[in-house]
Amino acid sequence: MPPINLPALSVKRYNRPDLAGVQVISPRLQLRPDSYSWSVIGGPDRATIAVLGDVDALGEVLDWLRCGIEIVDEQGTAVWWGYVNAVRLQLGAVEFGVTLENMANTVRVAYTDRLVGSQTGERQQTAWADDDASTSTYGIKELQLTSDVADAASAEALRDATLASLLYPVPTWRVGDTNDLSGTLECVGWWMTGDWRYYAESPVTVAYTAQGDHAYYSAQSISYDGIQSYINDSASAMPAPAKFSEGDLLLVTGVDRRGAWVIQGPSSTPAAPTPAANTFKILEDVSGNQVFGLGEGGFSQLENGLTTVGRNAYRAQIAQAFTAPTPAAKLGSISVWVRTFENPTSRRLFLDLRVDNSGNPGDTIATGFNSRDEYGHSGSQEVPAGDPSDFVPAAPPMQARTFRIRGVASGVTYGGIVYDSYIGEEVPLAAGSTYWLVLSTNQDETVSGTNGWSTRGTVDGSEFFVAQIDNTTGTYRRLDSGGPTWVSVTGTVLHTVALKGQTTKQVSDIVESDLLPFLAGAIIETASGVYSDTFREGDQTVRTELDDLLAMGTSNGKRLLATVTRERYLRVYEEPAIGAGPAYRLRTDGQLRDQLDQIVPPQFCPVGIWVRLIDVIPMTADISRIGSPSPFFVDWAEYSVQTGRLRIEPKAAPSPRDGDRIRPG
Amino acid sequence: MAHVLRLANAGATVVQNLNRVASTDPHLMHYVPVSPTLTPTEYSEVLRNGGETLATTRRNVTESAVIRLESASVTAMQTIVQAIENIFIKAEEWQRSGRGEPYYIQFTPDGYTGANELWRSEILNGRLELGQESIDLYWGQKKVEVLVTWTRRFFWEAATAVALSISNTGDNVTPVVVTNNPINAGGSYNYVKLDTPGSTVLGSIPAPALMTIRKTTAVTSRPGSFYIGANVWAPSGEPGDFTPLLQGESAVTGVSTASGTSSGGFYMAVTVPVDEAEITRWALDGTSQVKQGGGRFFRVLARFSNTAVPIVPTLGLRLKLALGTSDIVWTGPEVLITTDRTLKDLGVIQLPPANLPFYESSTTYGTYSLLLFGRSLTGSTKSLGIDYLQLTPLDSYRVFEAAAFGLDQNRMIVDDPARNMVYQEAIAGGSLSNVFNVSGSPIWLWPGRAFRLHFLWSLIDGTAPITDAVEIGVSYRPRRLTI
Repeated sequence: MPPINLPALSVKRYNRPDLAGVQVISPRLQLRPDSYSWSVIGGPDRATIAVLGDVDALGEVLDWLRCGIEIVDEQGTAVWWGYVNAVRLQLGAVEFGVTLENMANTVRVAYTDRLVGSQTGERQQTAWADDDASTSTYGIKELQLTSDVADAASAEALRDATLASLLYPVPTWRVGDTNDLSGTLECVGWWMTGDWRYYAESPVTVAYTAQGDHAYYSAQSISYDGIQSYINDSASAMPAPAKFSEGDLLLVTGVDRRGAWVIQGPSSTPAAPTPAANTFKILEDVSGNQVFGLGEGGFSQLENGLTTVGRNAYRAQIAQAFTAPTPAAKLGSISVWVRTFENPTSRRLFLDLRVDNSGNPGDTIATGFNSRDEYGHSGSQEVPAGDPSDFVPAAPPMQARTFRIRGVASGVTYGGIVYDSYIGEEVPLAAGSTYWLVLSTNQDETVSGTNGWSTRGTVDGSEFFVAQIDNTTGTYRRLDSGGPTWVSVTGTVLHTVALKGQTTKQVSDIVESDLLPFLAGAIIETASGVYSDTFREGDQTVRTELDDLLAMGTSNGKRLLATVTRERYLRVYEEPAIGAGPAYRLRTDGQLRDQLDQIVPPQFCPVGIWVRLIDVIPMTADISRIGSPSPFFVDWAEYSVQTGRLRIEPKAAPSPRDGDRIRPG
Repeated sequence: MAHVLRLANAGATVVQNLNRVASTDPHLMHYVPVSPTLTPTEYSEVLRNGGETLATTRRNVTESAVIRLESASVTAMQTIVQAIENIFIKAEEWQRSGRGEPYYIQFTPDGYTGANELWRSEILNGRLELGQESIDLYWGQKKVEVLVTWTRRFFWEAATAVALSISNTGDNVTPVVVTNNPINAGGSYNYVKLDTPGSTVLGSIPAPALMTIRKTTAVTSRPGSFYIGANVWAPSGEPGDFTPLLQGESAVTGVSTASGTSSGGFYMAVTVPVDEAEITRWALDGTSQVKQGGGRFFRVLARFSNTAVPIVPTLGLRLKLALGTSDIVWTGPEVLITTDRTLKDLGVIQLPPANLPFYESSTTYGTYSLLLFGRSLTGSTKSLGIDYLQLTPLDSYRVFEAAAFGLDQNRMIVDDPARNMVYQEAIAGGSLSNVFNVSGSPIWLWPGRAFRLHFLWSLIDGTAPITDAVEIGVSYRPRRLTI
């Protein structure tokens, strides 16, 4: 069989920073690749190129940092591509070099903001500081420092000093033993530019959090008279005795500009100035469409933009629709703005995720719940002693409560309830589909079995929950105790649906948001089927984030691999199964052959392939009790131009137990 | 006639004779050209006999000549000594820094009367040593033997470049007009050839082609990227027996569509699906493509119609080879179409992908198909117009890419790989500059073998009109290892 000849390789250089055009290389310079490598994570990994020329010509290459490099074989096939990361020149006995490794032209500092003398504080970051000249030449290369001792001012000083010292490639000097005139380009693949940026991302949510005209109507209009021990209007407009009695109706007008509203007093007569006796409770307006809240412990305020859940026949359950985003995602958590009223001792709030059924909630596909203990108090704010008119809530007392949502399966007991529909452990949301968030209560936290389900939606006039709505827009649904018809109500229940993004979608998003212009985009060959939180604080580099996402693999239990194409697209694909693709073979001569027994040109430096060992393992060897050495998967390969040798590093050989699934490490 | 041995510069001007031509020249006492040593790169195995030789390379040659200086004065002798040393130091400076010019040892053995009788080899460095007794007995007689030692290139080349009579319609036409169209377009093709033994390549080892690419016609957009493939090793020995062209309209599936801007007057309209699938395929001719392919490698350059059917990035295209029509025997890498450039490199195929006894002329070969798979990466199907695929032979392959402006009218690219030079020059002469980067190998001309050089090119604006034309000239310096 005729051998394959070793190729003569040439080098192409592209300009900086936009990589748009190939550059003429001075004929006084000879560029000779020494070696280059490929990896299944990132594709082109590293390359070392020797530079020969006189001292004047060698000086030229110092300015090649971040220029694009392609190594091309005699047949015009690009066999490696990336950029110049460092240049080393041996000028006599002195080795002089410059490198992008430690350069940073965009810097910030993370620090802890705490009072002097305090041991705790809040984590803060300075703003990014950058240098236009450097970023326009080399691109943005970020560095985040962390200081345990800096405060805001000193953190900024540290940031500025660091930027000033690192904004250009850092030179290195060394006097060595050799005495030569030569140069070396140390190149790395475009994948490494993932270390140039930090990645921060907000959670992906579908949310409605507008406050609408949610407001407090405090003692400006109505107040509790602590001396007379009754409620009156502060404008003294009420006729004598200017107080409310049991069963009185309070007509509220002209305050929220939406018409007339009615509240009524508690069931007990507020005869004595005790908090219990003076507690007003949440009621609906006469149309059943609006709720006002009165603080307990004294009449302090009225609050609109609320709805009760599970108090009475109205609103035994309420439901809010949302539309799942595109592309498909999975449910992470759901938050609603909710609180308890008084102190429910035996109730909890359920939040169910239901599919749409002709514009109303349909089958339940997932559920979560909050126990009363999670609220920590009765829900209403305590009114401080003194003049109630001085009380202005510092923030809306309504707080977002987050529900951990689980898909429910037939026969599965969750939260003491046996569910009869199957979804699975994770809850996928179909892109563009309508789903409903349904809030309800049950009677007894300890209830279990089907009884728990049957008691959903039960009401209790003294222990119930309150949810915040924007009653100026939209419609939500209520299910009265009498059911089964859902009733449309004006308003929107405030909610945030946090989503888990598919890991491959996150890879694509990261590439398109943070790696441009180094990469042109991402091509996802295989959707991972694995979902995770999209929130990132911004403390890790893009490459670390991508490594983590790829390491999660696919729902098939295989690794995700990635390579940067010559066009600088990041191609993400699933590790091929054993037997998929060409059947490569390796014999004792060290040459890789394809399924047609053709020698694979070693300069192609193939990775991401399965290779069988042929005639390597002695037939006398008993391999029944060791891991199978063949086939093996090529994770990394390096081609030595000088020797024509291909060095291959396999991943750990697959175990018979897990086939080619991922294993730790 | 005595042996001729002398030192000359790049302009072939003799700087110093080493044999007695004039009365002031030294006598050549002894000189035997040394052959280069071989450096094979081998794979050998402990467990197997023999081994495989992956490559054999030749090293530069260090050799000596003994000359005797006979001059009228000591000063005259020293003048010669210093002249020789000065040539060596200037040769070294050229090698080190590219300053000055190259120097050559020139040699013609006594009685040699063949064509291109003067051979030269580039000097890399050298030194001169006075003979052992030169200062004693012979100094006063002004007859001194000296040993001149130099290191030169491993080969000899003709001192004068030889223009080849190339053509694409008939021999003895230089320069040759080639059009950017693989078929006969008004009497010219996109290749130049040297088919006839009467005008063959001389020497004993391959020599790099010195090539000029002239642009004489007006340009709307300048040629910016040239792709040049050489067909030398067709099994029949006749490169013309290989058919490099696969017209789009000759593909098996698609809609053949008339187009005045397409090669052959048609292109094939095909649909690129979202999920990768076969777009179309070509049946490869068993003789002119499979047999004459000879197991060699070919770069598939595709021209798309981007006027009637705009090329909409981003597409992924992939070549496959099948026995028959569907038994896949080879799958190539996916090539991304990210721009609307008309001419696109789809990668390299081996044709056929097997080691078969191609040199046995009676053998017939299986039926192969070249399959084009594709997918649209934008989420919707796309239309694509395929004008042609050219199976560009890769016996040598060279690419010129304009760094900026391309090749303007009345200018030419001068490719001189022997001197590692690529530059532009006015056809009328002068105004030298360089805006082209070159990659790939030199175009190697093999002694005794015919060749065809296939040209395709893109303009700076990304189009590749089939009517565009350039003129090609090829010359070379025959090379030898020994004289």
